[in-house]
Order: sequence, then structure tokens, then C-alpha cells
Amino acid sequence: MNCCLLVIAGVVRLSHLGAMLLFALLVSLALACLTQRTRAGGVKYALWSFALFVLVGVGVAWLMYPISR
Amino acid sequence: MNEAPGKEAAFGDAPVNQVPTAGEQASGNQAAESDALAEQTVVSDAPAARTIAHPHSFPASAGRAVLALFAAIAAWLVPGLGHLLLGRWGRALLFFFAVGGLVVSGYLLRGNVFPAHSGDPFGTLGFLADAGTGVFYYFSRFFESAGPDVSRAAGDYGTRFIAAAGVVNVLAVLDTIEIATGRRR
Repeated sequence: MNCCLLVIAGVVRLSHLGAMLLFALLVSLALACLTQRTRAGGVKYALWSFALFVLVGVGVAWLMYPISR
Repeated sequence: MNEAPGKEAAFGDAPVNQVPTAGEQASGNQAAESDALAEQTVVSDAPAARTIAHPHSFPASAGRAVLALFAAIAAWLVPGLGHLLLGRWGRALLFFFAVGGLVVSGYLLRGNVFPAHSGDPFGTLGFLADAGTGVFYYFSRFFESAGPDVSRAAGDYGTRFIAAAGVVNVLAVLDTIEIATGRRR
């Protein structure tokens, strides 16, 4: 619920999850464009890359949770 | 190690034949000698055949190299402009919005922008990554009027966003060079 960008006085307030989703989306699109030559292949690659970014990010976050504080 | 120049060039281009092993050299049979002769014949013919096959290769490759240089500089200065010059509209728009979105988000999150003379190796690497964003690097003061703030997690994320944007744009520059030189479609 706190995943949206809130631009307040030129400063973006972004949750950790929101920042990760934004990063994953933009980097996945760029990598798909770089590595795939067809539209179908690019869409498939972007979806896979985005899903793996999010899954690995959440997984690493859970692994690091016991040592976070 | 004093091999014929033609032989070195052939090995650099493609591994046509294997070099005889120590066991084969010790046996000293005639088959190995005839193989070596055949290899030398192929090697000596290779540059001539290449010249005949591509009589106008130098001007064409020079033109492509100049095009690749201009496209690469344009792609670095403005993300997507290199692909635009090569007629790849879709890729140009996607790179512009992906790199621009990353770098502007990084600025708005108040990420750190590394200066050219930071004095330590990590700072230099950070500068190289940030400088990959081209003109966006010089807009950092416009977007970050309050300056960076890496005391919060958002500022730290912003630093990574900006660096990632620069690296992605460098990859886009390399893609532009490959398209301009004809190595990729």
C-alpha cells in the first residue's frame, strides 16, 4: 500500500519495496531491450527478469532479517 | 617462438588445425609432415583469399567505424539518441525512459552524485558509473537542489539508482556500436 511515489516538495518518499519494484522494472526493461531482438522475446525476458529481481530481493531480505538489528 | 607472420595471423583468426602434440612429433611419421605442409599452404593462401573476397572492405569498415563513433557519442550524451540516429525508435524511447527514469528517481531520492576528483578508488568507480548517464550527470544540481542525503535509506537507494542508470547507458552505448558496425541487427 506504500509502494507509490509521493513527490513532496521535490523529495520522493518511497518505501523499500516500492524502490525495489521501480528499480526492477526499469532495469528489466533495459536488459530485455539489450539482450533480445524480437518483441516476444523481449517481453518474456523482461517479465522473467522482473520476477527474478523481486523474488531474489524478497528472499535476500528475509535471509538478512535476523541480522538486521 | 620465431614463427612466420602469416602463421601467427592464421592462428589469431581461426584455429584451422591443431598443433602436433609431443607424441606425434616423436613418432616422426610422414603423415604428420604432410599435414604440416598442408597447414602451411592453407595459411599462406588465407590473406590473399580474404583480399580478393572483400576488395572494398577498408572504406566500408571505415565508414561504419565513423558512424559507430558518432552514434556512440550521441548515445552516451543523451540516452537513446544513438539508437534514434540508427533508426531504432522503439529502443531509443525505451532506453531514454529507462535510464532517465532511473537517474531522475535517484536524484529525487537524494542519492549521492560522485565528483570527478573524489580521491579514493570507490569514488572514482562511482564517478565512472554516474558519468555514464551523459547529460543527466550535469543536471544533478538542478534536480538535487537540497544536495544528497545518504543518512537515510532512500538516499542510499538513490545512489544505486544513479549508478545503475549509468551502467545501463554504457551497455546501451555498446549496443549502439554493435548495431552501427553491423554485428547486430
